[in-house]
Amino acid sequence: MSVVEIKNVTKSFGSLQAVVDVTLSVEKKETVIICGPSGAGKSTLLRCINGLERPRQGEVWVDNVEITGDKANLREARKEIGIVFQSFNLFPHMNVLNNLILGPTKVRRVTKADAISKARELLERMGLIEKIDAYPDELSGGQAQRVAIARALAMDPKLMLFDEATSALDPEMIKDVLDVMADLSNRGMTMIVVTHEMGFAKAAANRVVFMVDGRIVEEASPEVFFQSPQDPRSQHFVNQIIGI
Amino acid sequence: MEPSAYGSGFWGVSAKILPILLRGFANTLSYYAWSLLIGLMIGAVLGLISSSRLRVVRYPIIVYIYIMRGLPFLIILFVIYHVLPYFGVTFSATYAGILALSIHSGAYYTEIIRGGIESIHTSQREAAIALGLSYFHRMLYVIVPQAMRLILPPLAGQMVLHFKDTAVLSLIAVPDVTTVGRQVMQANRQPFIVFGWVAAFYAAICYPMLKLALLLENRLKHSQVRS
Repeated sequence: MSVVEIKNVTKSFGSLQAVVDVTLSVEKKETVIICGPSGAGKSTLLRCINGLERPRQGEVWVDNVEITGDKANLREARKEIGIVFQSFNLFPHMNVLNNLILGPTKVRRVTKADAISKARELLERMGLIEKIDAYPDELSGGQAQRVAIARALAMDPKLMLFDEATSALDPEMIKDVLDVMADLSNRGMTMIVVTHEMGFAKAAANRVVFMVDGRIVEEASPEVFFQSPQDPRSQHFVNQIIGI
Repeated sequence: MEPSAYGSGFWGVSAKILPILLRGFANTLSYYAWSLLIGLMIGAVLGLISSSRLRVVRYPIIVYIYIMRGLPFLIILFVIYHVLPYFGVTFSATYAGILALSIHSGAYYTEIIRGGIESIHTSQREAAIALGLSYFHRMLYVIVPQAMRLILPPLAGQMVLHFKDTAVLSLIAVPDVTTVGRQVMQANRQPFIVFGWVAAFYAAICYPMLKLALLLENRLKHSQVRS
């Protein structure tokens, strides 16, 4: 059963066509990597999946709810979609615990006690329980991003989106975050990940989707994509990130 | 020799006039309190609307702000008190004064609040939306608490200007401390003592508010360095 169905989605900003006629489906428990050169429309496509961008044409279905239709549907569906941004976007005026329980208590209407115990469990898992009272500006980038992942997971989503989650991090912190993401993937979370991290793709991805100029030009398993890409643009891209 | 009814010497004169001036000052404070309440409500509501995506209602708000910022306060006051009666809308001097202060200061508060909200980065809005928070929850828990830090320093500054504007109401003869002071002065011919006290009353309110504005501004600067 597919969790995400993207059907012929087109999104433009003025005269710029960011996403052009993209069709993609993601199965339950699958981890799909979206990669491609900058400006390929990867982030825009990802943002169409939780309605942060509204496509001009096409449909997006998440968990059998059409989010490109009714606005009420979109609000409902967003409860099931966690997103992790490149720049963390933690709420700077709240400590870690309050960042984690805001969504569950206000949107899911979970009791505060339940939300707190869930938050503690997630922070344990992230190795960040000692930061529970810290404010976001007291965290390193890697810690902040893991808190952001925990904040998304606190909503018990069925789908997790990662928008270049490690691009803003110092190299030594990337691994901590990728480990958390790989662990999440192994636990059976359905994930769509915009990233260039090949190590992560090989370790956790079921599929790699390669985009150029708003279109999907290649879809393959990570092994095939990184070793013998078919499309010349994919070959060029893979060569570049391998550093040949 | 001074007529004894007006007192003599600084303290003698002061003892006579202070009870009268204080009544005027109480009126000034009441005009201020009411117009502050209404002005801040205008600012909060219109500030929220004009920072939102309700573009249709933004336009009338912009016109309102232009009118209020483009005219001297005295003219706004005269229009409400002297011109509106020709259109069948008559206010007592007190109500006209409070109304003029409210809508005039409300325009400035609107701009300050709109600016504060808009300066919170879109990424915060998106993070809140992505969690599924409603507009109301987003504003209440995420945007407004962060915007408050940016809003408070200029707001405190504007509140001082607003307070000083209450003196203009004396031109439609409401019994505020400036009007009362002028009447007392015409009776006892002691402008130095009378307006010394009147000035002291205004300063007693303005000075702490200016201090507060400065404090808030410094705190904001430090918190920006930290983050």
